Amino acid sequence: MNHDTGNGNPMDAMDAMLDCESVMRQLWDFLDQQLTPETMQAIEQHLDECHRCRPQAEFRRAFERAVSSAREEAGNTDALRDRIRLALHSADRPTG
Amino acid sequence: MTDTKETTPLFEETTMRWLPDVMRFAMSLTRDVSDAEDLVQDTYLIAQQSWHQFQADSDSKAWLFTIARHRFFRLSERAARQVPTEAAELESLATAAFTMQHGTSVADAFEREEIRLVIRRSMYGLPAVYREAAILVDWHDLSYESAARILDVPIGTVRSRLFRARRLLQEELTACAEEYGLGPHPKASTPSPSSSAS
Repeated sequence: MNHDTGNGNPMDAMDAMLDCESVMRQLWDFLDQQLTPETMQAIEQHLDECHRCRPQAEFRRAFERAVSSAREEAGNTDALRDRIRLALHSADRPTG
Repeated sequence: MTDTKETTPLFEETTMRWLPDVMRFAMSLTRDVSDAEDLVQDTYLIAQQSWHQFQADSDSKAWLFTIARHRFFRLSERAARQVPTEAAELESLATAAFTMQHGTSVADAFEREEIRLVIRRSMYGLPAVYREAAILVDWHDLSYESAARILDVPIGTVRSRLFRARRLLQEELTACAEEYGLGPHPKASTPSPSSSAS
């Protein structure tokens, strides 16, 4: 298994494999910014250098943008706001 | 209803700013505007009744989402199904393996308007437990922690459900994108974690 880190330096094959696998394991957490600053930085650096992992990250970013763009819209909630306020005030009145 | 007496101004100040978000969440649950509006009103009434239990430093948006979700499942008499989930990391690896197989060039198709319709349809086609996690994180930008609180499950469960949801969505979207004529990219530039994922 040849892992190209893109930096031109020979790397121990096992270390490279673990690095790539570790990045893939944590890639969603990385994209969702759920990791520690140190891990975020380490993965960012790996993605900068690794020609194999970077397309994965770019693909997932495009995917996340697409999913986000399909979200539901609330529409105009002014009338609903008035309706709820009326209901809240009505419910808040002491009933005796 | 003495508990809620004179609580309305502060309650409204704290909760009303989330009305569009609660409405969007209700829409994703009910998929009907009228039903969503009813659910939102019920949510605010229940929230007002429970206002004395609300912790001032809590996440009021997540609190409202929790109430809305409970109310929806009670109304629809559907309990959230508990299904076994794989480890989140394995889901992420499976996603990588899938992308490696099908390529990354289809990402361009994700920008197309038709794909958004497919995404929405696919999202609603997901099993409920996966859909909930994806909607809370990907459509409402909630943290894993807030989503876990709303769903009343551990954060690890949110992660694995979310990653499974994304993988299922990616499979559908990739298939759809390929139908638009964007074939798979040559298997060149992705890592090979499949041996660990299988």
